[in-house]
Amino acid sequence: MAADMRRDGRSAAMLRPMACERGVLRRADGSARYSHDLTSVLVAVYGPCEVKKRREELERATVEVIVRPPAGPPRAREREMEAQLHGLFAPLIVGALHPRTAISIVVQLVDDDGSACAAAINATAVALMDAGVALRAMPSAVALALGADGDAASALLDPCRSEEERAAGALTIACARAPSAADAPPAIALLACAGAALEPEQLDAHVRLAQGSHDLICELARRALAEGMVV
Amino acid sequence: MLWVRPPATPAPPHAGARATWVTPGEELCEEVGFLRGHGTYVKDGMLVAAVAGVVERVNKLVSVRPYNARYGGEVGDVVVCRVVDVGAKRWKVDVNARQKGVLLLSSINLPGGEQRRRTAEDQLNMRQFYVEHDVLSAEVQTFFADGAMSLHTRSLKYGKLGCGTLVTVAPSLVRRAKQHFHTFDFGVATIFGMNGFIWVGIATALSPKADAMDVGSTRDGGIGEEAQESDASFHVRERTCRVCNAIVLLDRFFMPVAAAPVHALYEKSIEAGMSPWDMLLPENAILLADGLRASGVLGVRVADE
Repeated sequence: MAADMRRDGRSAAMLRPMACERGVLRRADGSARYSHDLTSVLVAVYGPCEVKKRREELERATVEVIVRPPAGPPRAREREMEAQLHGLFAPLIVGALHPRTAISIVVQLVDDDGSACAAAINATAVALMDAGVALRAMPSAVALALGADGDAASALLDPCRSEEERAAGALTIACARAPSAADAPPAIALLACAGAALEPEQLDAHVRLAQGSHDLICELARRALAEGMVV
Repeated sequence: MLWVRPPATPAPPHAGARATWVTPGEELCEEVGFLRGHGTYVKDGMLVAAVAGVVERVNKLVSVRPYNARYGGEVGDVVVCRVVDVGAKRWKVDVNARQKGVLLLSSINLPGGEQRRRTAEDQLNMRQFYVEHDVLSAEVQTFFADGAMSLHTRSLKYGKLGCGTLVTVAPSLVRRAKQHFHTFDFGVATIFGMNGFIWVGIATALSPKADAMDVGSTRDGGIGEEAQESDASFHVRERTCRVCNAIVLLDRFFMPVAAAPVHALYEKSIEAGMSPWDMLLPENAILLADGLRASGVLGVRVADE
């Protein structure tokens, strides 16, 4: 799993072809479909709208996230994704603009061929912008499949499902650019690591891979918002 | 009644499109000397975009207008809406907002211009006024506690609309103006609803009808109802279609939707010898849009960097 080509012809640090489409669902306030090649995620955003009394927050909007798998009932993996998405987007959304309301994010994993969480984050970002919900910054996310040694050289960017299953660990990194740092690399907004112990230097190398993808994904999202459908 | 849908061909990007778009997190300008408008927030003394959309600068006010925000509504806005449900003493209408709008029985004009309490008989006769799928023009009266809009048609110029076409545009493209009811000199009337619903119809039936004052007539005020099929000759329909397509083009290119740009596009398409349906072909559309931009009819500065 070193410098050789991967099964689909990519090098270790190449992203899959991505597609992004916004405004897919007519009845939702905002919606988007994001695909990393065969992995496809559909996100609908509703809000700001009415919130149940017990979940009401007096000073900000309540962000609710629901993740559903392609088939079957939601399990631990989907619950974990809900927590990760909530942890990422609740601070990013300017909730103070809409106190005592709810912003619901509904994520439907349509096809899962690896990097589902990263695709869900990318789709959610576009759906929130499609809905006109105020965000502090625009996030993007990629996934990494880690080798047994945790080295950056053996990590695979944007793994497909077979690569994810064979990997020793998985890393999902979301980046967002702070407003005053237009030229600097984007800051980390979400870091989720499972299954591998990493040294700080190794982590830095992985993070740099993710930061390199940020601009590409943001440009794709920007074009999708401007034009409709871009592949 | 026709439904006009935007064409399936995607809108081509025009020169300068990249310069006008911002996404959340992009810095706009320094906070000092500028007023913060919608869609922005302040961070470290700089105004930063909070939504994805077009930057608007009006004197010192800097705001970002999102492309696809649902219609929020303000008291006094003229809207065009479609009845969705007939309920107890109210109609539920689709106003292109997050929730359905409400038209209370007490907020409509009774025939004969009466001012009286609505009785149980009025409640039973609600379907004589409006039923499902009727299109009507109304004004926003107030908001309920949960944010739903309450409308009224307490003026003869509001009411049921007939013999026309409904075109849907992005609500942010319709600007507040002195007049939302506009009649073009070639016999087509339009109502630019602030919620993005634009009604285009025949002008002959625009004036309030005399029989709205008849006692016993169960009709609210309104326009176009009395126009018969015979009034809609081929030429009038063709002109209506051309106006509809002009509005669709303005929406496609994200330009303000108002009487002046619509009229300019109408004239240009006739000068160029296009038929109404050819106006929507991509090559013709770009031609018309560029011509419109060059003519300076669009008075609003849209984010020239």
